[in-house]
Amino acid sequence: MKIEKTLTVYQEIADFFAQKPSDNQNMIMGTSFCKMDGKQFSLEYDSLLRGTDADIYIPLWASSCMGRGKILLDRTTVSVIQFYYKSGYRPCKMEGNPPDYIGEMFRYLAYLKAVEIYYNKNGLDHKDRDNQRNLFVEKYLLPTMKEISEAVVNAGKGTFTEFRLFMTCLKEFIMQKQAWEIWIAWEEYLKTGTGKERTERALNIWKDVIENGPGKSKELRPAETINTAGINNCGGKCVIRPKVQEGCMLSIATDDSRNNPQLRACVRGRGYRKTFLSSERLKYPMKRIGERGSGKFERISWEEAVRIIASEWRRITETYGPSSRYVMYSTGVTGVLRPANLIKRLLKLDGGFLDHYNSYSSACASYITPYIYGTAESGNSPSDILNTKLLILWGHNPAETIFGSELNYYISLLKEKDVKIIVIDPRFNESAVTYADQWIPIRPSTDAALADAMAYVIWSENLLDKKFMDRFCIGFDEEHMPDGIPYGESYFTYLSGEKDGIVKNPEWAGGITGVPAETIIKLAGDYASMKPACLLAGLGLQRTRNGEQTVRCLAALACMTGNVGIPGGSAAGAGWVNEHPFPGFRNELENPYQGKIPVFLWSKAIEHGTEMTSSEDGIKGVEKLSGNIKLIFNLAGNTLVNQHSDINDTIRILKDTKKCEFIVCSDIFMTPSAKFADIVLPAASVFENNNIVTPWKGANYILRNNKVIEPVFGCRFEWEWIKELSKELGMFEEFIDKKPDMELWLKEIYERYREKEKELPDYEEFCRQGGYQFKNNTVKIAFEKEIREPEQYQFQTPSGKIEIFSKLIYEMHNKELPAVPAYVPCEEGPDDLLRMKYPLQLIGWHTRRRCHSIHDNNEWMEELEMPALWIHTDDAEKRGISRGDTVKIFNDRGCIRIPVFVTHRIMKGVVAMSQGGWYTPDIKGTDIRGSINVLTTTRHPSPLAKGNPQHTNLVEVALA
Amino acid sequence: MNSKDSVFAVDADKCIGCGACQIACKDKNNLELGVNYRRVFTTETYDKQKLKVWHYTDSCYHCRDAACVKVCKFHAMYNTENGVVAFDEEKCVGCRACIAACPYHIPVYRQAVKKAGKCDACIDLLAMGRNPVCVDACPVHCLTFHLRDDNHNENRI
Ligand code: SF4
Ligand code: SF4
Ligand code: SF4
Repeated sequence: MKIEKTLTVYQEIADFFAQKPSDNQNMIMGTSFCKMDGKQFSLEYDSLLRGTDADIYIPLWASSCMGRGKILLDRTTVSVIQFYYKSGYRPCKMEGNPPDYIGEMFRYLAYLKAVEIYYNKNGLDHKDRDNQRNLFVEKYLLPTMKEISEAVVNAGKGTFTEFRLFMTCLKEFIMQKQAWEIWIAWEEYLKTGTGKERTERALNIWKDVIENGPGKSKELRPAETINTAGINNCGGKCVIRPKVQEGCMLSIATDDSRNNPQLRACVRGRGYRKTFLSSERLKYPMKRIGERGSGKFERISWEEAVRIIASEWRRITETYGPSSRYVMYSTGVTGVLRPANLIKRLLKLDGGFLDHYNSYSSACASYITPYIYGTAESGNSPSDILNTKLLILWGHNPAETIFGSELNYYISLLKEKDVKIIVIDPRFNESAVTYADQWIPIRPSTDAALADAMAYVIWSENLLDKKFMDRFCIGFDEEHMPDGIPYGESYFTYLSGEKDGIVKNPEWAGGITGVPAETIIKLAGDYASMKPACLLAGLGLQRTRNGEQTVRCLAALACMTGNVGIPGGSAAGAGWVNEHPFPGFRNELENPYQGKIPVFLWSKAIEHGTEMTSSEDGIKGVEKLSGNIKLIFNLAGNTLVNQHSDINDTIRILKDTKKCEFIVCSDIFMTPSAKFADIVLPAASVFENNNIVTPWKGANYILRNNKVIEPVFGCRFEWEWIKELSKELGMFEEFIDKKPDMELWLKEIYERYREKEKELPDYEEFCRQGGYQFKNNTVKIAFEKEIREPEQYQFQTPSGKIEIFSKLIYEMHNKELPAVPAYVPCEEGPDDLLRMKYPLQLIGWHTRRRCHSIHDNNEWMEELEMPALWIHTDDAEKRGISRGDTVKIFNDRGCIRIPVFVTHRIMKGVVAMSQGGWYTPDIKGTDIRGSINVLTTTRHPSPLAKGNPQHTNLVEVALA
Repeated sequence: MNSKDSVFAVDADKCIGCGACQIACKDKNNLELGVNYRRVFTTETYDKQKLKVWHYTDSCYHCRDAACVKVCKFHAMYNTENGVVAFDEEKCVGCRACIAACPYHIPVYRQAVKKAGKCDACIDLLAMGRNPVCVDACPVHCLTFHLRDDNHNENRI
């Protein structure tokens, strides 16, 4: 009888883990569960086993209990499957759980008991099987139970404590140490008992095994390597080659082909397995039950989620009109099928939505470069860098940002050739460490002043490429001005100080930038004399309060030295390249609502949308917005909270459900943004879906993102539920455009691409290879044609020339945006009086360990680099701070507590913290994860692009 | 002969400290948190107004006359013909003698499996004519590896 009863116990435990029992009475898991009412029990169950509470994490899978941290579907899982297969057991995937889920392991034990009954009946020897079982229990089950017990205690919930007791009791039971005494005591405690009826039920489940013996044992399928690609908005778009076995991922390799150059994944790509198969993944659709941001959710079905979204969609559209609907900027999936674009498509079919322009990445650069050159595509192909004689990395840190998969390789070749490399950056960043022959530290938000002084030297010392300027540019001197502009408005007049009495010489710039005058003179001399010279600017220096002017200044320098349009040179500017432009989908839809806001001003448009104007806030397409934002879709993005500025203020706005009434987030983790959603949907990771990936900043390849494993738990790629939503809203046919399956979309767009790019292989081959690297190695030089054949090709500006002075800007009469590339001091820049209170300038940077906020929860990366605040040794000393201390860094907007990195690698007066740490407030609201946007501002966007000035901040630092 | 005769070479002039090799190794070897067979370091000195910073990466040196091999009574650490100092996890009893003996503090103790562990030069990949995974991870190709009996590894990419 004992053996039947043991089977019953195991089966009931498996059942409990497999699915929420409809009836919580007579539960063997503990009395506190029995005492709850249905609703309470349901919430408790889901927070324990289905991840519905943002503050509770219980590792329920063997893989995440082996000391390897929060990971799913790894080699441990394969070993567990091997045990299953060997004894003829087939896992049943309880609610999408991996096979080494605690419930599945108990079901396996029940199965083994059934086999034992069969063996006993037939007088067969099962010693071998017993050994196997014991090994399994010892290796996988017990460690998992131990970890669960610990996590349950840490979760600190009363009812969970009893659950722990249950685990302890169960452990003894499994170990067969006085099993029955313990079990009977437990049952007495519960005042239940595994009655006859229940035993019968359990035996019935395994009837077949009991009668006919175990299933066939089976070998593991061999591992295979699949070609796929990274899909985040990472500077690199790289080759990822996971080794997969039985739906688990063993390891990741990268490009080892004879491609030249190889598209090797960087550190982030190598950590994909740990990031994307984390056991912290969102698992099932949920709806909010606590107040916004509390992180308390209730599990719902996909159908219910879609129904709720549809009804809110209708309600809000009827009440506030289509323009109250907004889709967040998001870059978690940057394949050609982007979740945000899919929902936009649906919104377009139903009256449209309030769209945005610009990006958080390159707002100023992309917006202003067309004013100079007529286009933002002002970059040369990455490989052209090999032709340069001098490389200036200005606010550029490719060693960490990975600005294109191959760029670091090219720069290392330059270094081999002994080409001089200069790095201008407030930090002696990782690129500077390796690449720089010279490091020029500079105060943040003053790059324009440095550039102006360089221009002054080049002009006043006759280093100017006058022929180039005369031929291709306007607005640099008084002889080359557009009609109708009075005397004194040209760039050189500005530099001379004729009008404002300030000569923009190196001494002047030295005071502003902190760069010594001699250094500026030498730098200008080097740049003007070593031709071709490549001025490669990063995007950090334009994510400032005066970013537009900085970009214009650097472009002016490129022109004055004649480096535009030639191999080995660089036109500066936004620097985008597009060697093989990708087509759009067939029948792309127009947005019926014309209004657009700058991407950075969405939080303002929640509170003050109707008051926003085109001159002040850059509204486009409409005179005024007809209402505030009431409905937000935030799909695969973290700008709702984490990556937007002034987190505390943003949270204030979001918390108020009367302001923005409904927020839908779809993501793979409970990010700081997802916490503020009303509906949270679990998305598919990079491994669980197909897509096509184009390189970030030009290059000769495109990649295919292949589905490597099935979506885990209840996760779905956004397409799936948006399709359902379109049905619910009655727009299915229009939405799918005769392509009910996502693959059809991908194939269609690929075929359109192939029409233009003849050398591409057919779709199947492309997918199999995981992408294609063009043999026809196009090297694009921006404005090559315009420079070589000026008669035929003009710049796409109003004057047809490069506009150093811009009449368009002149006519804006904006004090903060002079018509020439002049330095403009700004709020929270180094000259701001606020420095009396907050003397330090704070900047962020893109760390190697994260792609924006992605990978922050990857524990492997923690071993590479911990969050820390960089502070100069002298600044630290002044404040009594030394190595190893934890400090608080604060301004009027908030406070962060974080360890310091005391170093000489940063300029005095500047502190820095890598961007992307997940906002993690303690009880007092102090962030403890180094989430820089607690300290950044939404109040002063850049003057024209209304760009995010996330590197223009003043703060103070003190010992915590 | 007990010289540090490394079969790995890092061109420290080129290493950007990116950590790709460290994480690739961790991924391939399925290592626990806190355990790494390859580490990337960045060192900073400031002396007489002069700032010096360099990146470096370190793993087992596969010594010719390896202390870890000599000290291991269970032959868990052993020499292969081509100069790799390999490690047989099955044989390791976790006595930590190798950890104490290695002059470069290379072997680590893996709490989770109660055994020592260290870089085995990815011998499984070598056997397939491939490079160690860390070598093929390096975005700037500054990490190289050669077997002692074969200084030419052109056939590896
Ligand atoms: S573990 Fe130490 S002693 Fe052994 S081969 Fe490696 S470096 Fe040499
Ligand atoms: S050779 Fe293999 S085991 Fe050794 S450090 Fe490199 S990746 Fe790690
Ligand atoms: S992968 Fe290469 S560049 Fe990066 S840390 Fe390792 S050795 Fe250095």
